[in-house]
Amino acid sequence: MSTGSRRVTEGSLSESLGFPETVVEVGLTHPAVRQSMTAVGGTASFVIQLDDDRITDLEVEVGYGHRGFEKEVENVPWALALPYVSRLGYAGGLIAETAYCLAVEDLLGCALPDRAIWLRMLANELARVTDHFSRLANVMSAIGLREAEQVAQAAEVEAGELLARATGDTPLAGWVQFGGVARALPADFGKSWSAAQPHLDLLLSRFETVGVSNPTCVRRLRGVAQLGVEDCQAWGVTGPTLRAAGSPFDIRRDRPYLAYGALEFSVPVGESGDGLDRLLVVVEEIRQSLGMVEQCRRLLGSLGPGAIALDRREFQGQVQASATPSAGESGEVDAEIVVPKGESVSTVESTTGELSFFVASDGAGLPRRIRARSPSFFHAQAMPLMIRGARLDDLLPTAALLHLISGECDR
Amino acid sequence: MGIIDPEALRSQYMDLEIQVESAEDGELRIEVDSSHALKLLRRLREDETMGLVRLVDLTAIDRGAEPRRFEVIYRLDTFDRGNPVRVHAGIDGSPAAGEGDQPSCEPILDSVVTIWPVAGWLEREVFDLFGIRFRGHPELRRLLLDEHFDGAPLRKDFPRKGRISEGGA
Repeated sequence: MSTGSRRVTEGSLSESLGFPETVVEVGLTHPAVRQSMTAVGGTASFVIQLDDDRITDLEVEVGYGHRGFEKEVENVPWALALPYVSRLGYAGGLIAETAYCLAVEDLLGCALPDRAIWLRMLANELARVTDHFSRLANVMSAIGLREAEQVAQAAEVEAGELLARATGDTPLAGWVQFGGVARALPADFGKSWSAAQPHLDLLLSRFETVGVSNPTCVRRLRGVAQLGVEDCQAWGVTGPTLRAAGSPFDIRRDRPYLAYGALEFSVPVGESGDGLDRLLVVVEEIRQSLGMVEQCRRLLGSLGPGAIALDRREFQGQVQASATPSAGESGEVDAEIVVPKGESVSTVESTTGELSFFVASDGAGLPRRIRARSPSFFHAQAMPLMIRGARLDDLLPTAALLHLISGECDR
Repeated sequence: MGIIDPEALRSQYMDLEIQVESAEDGELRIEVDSSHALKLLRRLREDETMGLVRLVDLTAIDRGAEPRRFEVIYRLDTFDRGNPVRVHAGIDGSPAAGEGDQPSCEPILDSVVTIWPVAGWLEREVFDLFGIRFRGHPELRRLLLDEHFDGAPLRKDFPRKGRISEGGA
């Protein structure tokens, strides 16, 4: 008897058992039923060819959640693209906002105030903690470890509330803005953080006890859906999945943005690139991110009061008052930012991997092109490669560990 | 990839008529005609001094009325420190803006799937949303949109609002 994934051997299992090979379809599910019904958060559909319970081939169908994001944002002023950008992820949407703002700020040529940089990093890492915990909960749900799932979910809720407190008392509050952030931390944030941090540490340790070191978890994930470094590189697989395969590539360390170069953190790597390594990397990344939040908070404390955003007039005089509403539209008198002609790329380490924006401006009011390189899209493409030869049971944990987000994948 | 000297790059790839600009953040921007794009990309990939060149992203842009209306953009990088490269392949003979998408004058260029497998879905997406064809792609069909959808929504002349009538956008 063998455990874990097994390469398909010569000869068909089904045939020897006397029934034909089958094709089953898993999905679609509505994104809102993630966690309660399925570990696969969203609208990807998997068409699976089965030989007995071995997956011989897989086709991932995407696009069911396609919203025409890149078309929509070409037709709104630059700043109004932000709410669309946020919806590229759940808690990780804040990281997408950050990436988009960095790309546009590069064209605007503005240098952020120190406080804005550190505030953004603090919120980014809190978002990562929240999103990583939600991934852990999904994985545990997929392999049926209810207690571990509940621990991860409790931590997700707690970190998510903390993130909401930091950024405007609601998820995706439009906190990251051109030139800085919308609001400073609430005065009592330090208190909330000091109360929550030891609890989050505790939940993470509990998760390691009831989840990671649970024999069921180890058996279900070890050796499953392996993907080596070379395949990761050939198929554009990045983030925790790449690091689990043994490559220590992390944008925060290797292409530092904001002030990540000034933070102390280590980049966890795995060895075999299987499900268990992915799980371990994610767990350790939560620990590192919690440490980074603490560092940011301390540094913000030492910075004292100051600006958290540039005044709009500081965008190199690029703000034009569009006080002349075009015919048919009622008076939009907000000042519109005119982004100078040019192209720019920004890349950040999102919760799923290498998230980057390519933006192009004509110097007119509307964007010429806004392109999001969304890691989930690349990971969905690489799924057949890692899942062939695994068992049908392995599909959902694998999808959950990759953290495929349809909003991000389908755009 | 290591630190690349734009001048050296220009002379090394002179036969492909490339134009090299370096952006402020050290990113190199290379313009090339779509007929030379595959040759350039293959040589960049095989250039050992560059390290392991990976395809980070592949997308396109519709410039509107400019003579070369469509560009396919390849973003290259390595896992080492150094400057990333962006290759813009301008496609000649594109339909003029407003002429619609006559199949005979659909923009087309060579697929890079043989160099980077990751280009498979990326080129399908560009085909899907821009109506740009890739010569040599093993499975060039729609990816995000329905297979019966007609039109290329990311083209600038594709309307943002309206109903899609039978047989055309």
